[in-house]
Amino acid sequence: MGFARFSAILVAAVTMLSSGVSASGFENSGIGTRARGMAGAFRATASDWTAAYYNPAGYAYADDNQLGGNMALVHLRHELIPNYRWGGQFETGVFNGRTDYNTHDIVSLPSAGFIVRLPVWGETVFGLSAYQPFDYNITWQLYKPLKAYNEGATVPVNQYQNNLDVVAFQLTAAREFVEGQLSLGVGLQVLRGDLVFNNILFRDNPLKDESTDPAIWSRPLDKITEFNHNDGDGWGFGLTAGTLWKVNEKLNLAATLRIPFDLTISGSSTSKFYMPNDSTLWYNHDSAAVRNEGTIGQLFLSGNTVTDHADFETVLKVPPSIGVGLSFAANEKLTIALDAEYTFWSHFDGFDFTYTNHYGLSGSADTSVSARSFFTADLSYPVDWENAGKVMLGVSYDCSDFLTLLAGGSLDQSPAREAKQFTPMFVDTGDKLGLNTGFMVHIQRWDLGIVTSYLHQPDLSVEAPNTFGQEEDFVLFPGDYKAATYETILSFNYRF
Amino acid sequence: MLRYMNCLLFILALTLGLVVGCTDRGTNVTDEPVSNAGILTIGHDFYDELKLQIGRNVGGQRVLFQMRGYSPEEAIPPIQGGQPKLVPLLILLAPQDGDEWYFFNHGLKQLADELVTEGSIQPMEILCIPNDRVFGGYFYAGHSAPAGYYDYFIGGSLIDYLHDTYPFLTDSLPVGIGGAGMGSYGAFRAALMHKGVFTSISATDGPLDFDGPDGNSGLMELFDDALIEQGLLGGTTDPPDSTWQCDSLEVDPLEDTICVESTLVINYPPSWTENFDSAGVWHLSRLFIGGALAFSPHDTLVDTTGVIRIKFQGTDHEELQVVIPDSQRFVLSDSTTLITNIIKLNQFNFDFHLPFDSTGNPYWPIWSMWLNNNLEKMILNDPSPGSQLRGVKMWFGTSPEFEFANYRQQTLSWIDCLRHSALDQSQIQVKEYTGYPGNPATNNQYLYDIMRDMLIFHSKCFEQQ
Repeated sequence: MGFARFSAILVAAVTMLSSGVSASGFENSGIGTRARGMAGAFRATASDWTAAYYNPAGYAYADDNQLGGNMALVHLRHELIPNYRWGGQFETGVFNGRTDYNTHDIVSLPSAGFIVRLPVWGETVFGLSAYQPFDYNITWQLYKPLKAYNEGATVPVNQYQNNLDVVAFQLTAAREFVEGQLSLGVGLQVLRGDLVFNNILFRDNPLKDESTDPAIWSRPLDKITEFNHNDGDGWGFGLTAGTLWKVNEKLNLAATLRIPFDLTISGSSTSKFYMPNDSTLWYNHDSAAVRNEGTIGQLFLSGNTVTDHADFETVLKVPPSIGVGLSFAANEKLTIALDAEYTFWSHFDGFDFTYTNHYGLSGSADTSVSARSFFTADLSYPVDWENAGKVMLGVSYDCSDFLTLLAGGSLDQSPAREAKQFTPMFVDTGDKLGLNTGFMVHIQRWDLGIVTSYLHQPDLSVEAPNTFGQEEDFVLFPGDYKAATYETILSFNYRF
Repeated sequence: MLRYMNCLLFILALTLGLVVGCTDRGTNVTDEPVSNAGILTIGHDFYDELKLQIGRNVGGQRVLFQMRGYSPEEAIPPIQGGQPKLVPLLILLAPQDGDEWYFFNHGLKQLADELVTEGSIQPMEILCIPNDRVFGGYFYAGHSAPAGYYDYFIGGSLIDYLHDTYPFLTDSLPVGIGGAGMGSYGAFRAALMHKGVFTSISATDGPLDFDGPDGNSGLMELFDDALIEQGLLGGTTDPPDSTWQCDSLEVDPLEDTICVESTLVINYPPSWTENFDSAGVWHLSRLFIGGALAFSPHDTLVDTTGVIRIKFQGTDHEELQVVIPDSQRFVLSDSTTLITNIIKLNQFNFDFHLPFDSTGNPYWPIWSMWLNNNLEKMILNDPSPGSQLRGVKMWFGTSPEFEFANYRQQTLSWIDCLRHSALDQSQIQVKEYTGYPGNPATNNQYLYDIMRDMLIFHSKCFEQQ
């Protein structure tokens, strides 16, 4: 008992004192209360239905058939004080200098699965599960057109939104190859990707190339506001595999591999262009190309909203990863686990949206070659991330047959190590520290659990480069970022 | 018992974490107050000052001089009756080719609304004066008929008219003046000629020192550029046409007709002064035409013996007006740089003398007339140099990227002159700014942004009065 207490205190101290971080990029933090309570350090102890995610080989040691599910409630509590000024000094309409919160939203992430032990190929354990290996959902309202640009324009509230889901429908099979010592498991995945991606872009006013009169494209008419909305989905495949080696009664070792293949996401897109509103400027202009109704000049000073609908296609390159884990049963009540994972985030390079089948443009927006080219341009949101590692340490302590306490911490390296492309669409401010704790109760065949998780991210100040203000700079969003994630996971597991 | 207490505390901590982690932090989007400020249209003909200005009153109609004013909510009479509050006055002069909407087209109303609402400036009437549309402007200068008598108008009869007409304006409150480009010159000129009228002056880069810091730059460096614009540098570059004209024919023994006496005939192309185009859209040429009509006009062709028939707008009432009294005429016998093919408008016709010759060098008899109107000369000519601006606060917005017409160089030179004119150095504030890459501040592209500083500057000056 003394050793158990000592171990528990040691783990807690390590967790509390660790600096760094949980899930990086847009990887889900994990599923299941037992695993999440141990901060995801579960590869070497996985033996319930959530092993499909952590280590399919764990299925081989599931004693019972199981039916389980969990619901994670995630709240991203981020803050941003924008400093989005052209050249670091000229206002853009972004809410600079004040604290902005991401839109309040408690995101629910359900997952479920079951395990059956069938007399196939010896005695193989099969499982079918559905969960989200990748998920990100954030919305910001950060912009309102400057009054001098267009006082009456109403830009949607979900102007900066990234709702990215990848759901894996996974068939898992695992069996022991050396009885009581070594098991292998494989999961075949059908991946479903869903993406809602909105952004505000500031496009160079094309009148600059059309007219020598600077008055019609001077500040704050120098940039045209575009609200770009994309909503689509796609299917793909993935593979996960793992092995679990029970070295002795106390020590387990594990290794895993995840290979999701690229998903092609397609769907519909709507781009709204909010034209500057300066009726006196075009109405009194000397040039007929600006003054006359139906001209490009008039269009770009009219205050109208030009809408372009299109089909889009983009490739979502989700990253593969490898992991190892060990668990040590300090005594019959206390288990300590340590996992490490390495995710190849450099594979993800953002989104390149290709648009086809445009419709909805009218008048000079449609008939003018230069205007149509402006309104129908493909858009790119490049991301330049680096591969990142993660270390997780967790403990479970069986207080009694009724109650199991869980605790863990994680250190997670950020893939976004340079702020040169930092945007509110992926708030990953640096290496993260995750603290998890919870408990499970065991009532007859039922296991019920609750875990709460806090993910701390360091503050990040993203400076605007001296060159900030060129059209391609919309992939950067300067400002002071603060980030924290709270998560609550509820689960059940029924053994039969 | 201890175990159950521990479990209870554990669950309480979990619950607390859940509550903290789930609270709604509210919205960061605030409702902005609606401004009831308006745009005031002011039309007055200022007939005595502008009756013979080129292009005005064409066709015998008295054309109103149209101005626009930003009127804060306080200056508008309350719906429920009563008097509006008194507010200070700021006059803004548009740059070359800018009309009365110029500052509004750069966001003046929205900016003023925002600044008044957030308390950054006090409510003020902001009156926007147009520049002339025919040649882009006459530097808001002159006491000559073709350019208009702005010297009497901007700091004089205009303010008298406003104070007499609008109940929210009074001569007991301060008046500021500002401008952009050519309007900057106009603002300082008005302040120099109407000592004590203006308490504050704001200016962006403009023609503020005609001969630059070394007496040989500024506008002088642009003389040849104006000629190049029109392809006239070096005078007429086309070679003369020459042909032999046969004066006497004879028939030779072979019965061929031959010329026995001939004369060389040379056809010279028109001179550069004849080719100088006043109808073009060249900005530099228009700058010098406008200046010449203000500083070096030539109105010998004006019919001073006749009268013109002026009809009041919207009425059948007509008046007969003497055109120009001889005492107010400009006549220069020097024709070296005289441009005579100006656009002719009805019975009015005004020629002008350019300050440079065909090689782009200054033509001093005329250029010296311009220099007499240089701000530096105007301030130094005073018996007590600088006294005209004593106590007047001045603000400059200047950019090293400003390209047009050496305005940046002239502005810095003028600032330097002011700093050496026995003025209190605290009277002068200078804001340097640059644009962002891809959108340099070559002209007034950033007026929207620096106008914020201009308005705040004037407001603070008003508060100090």
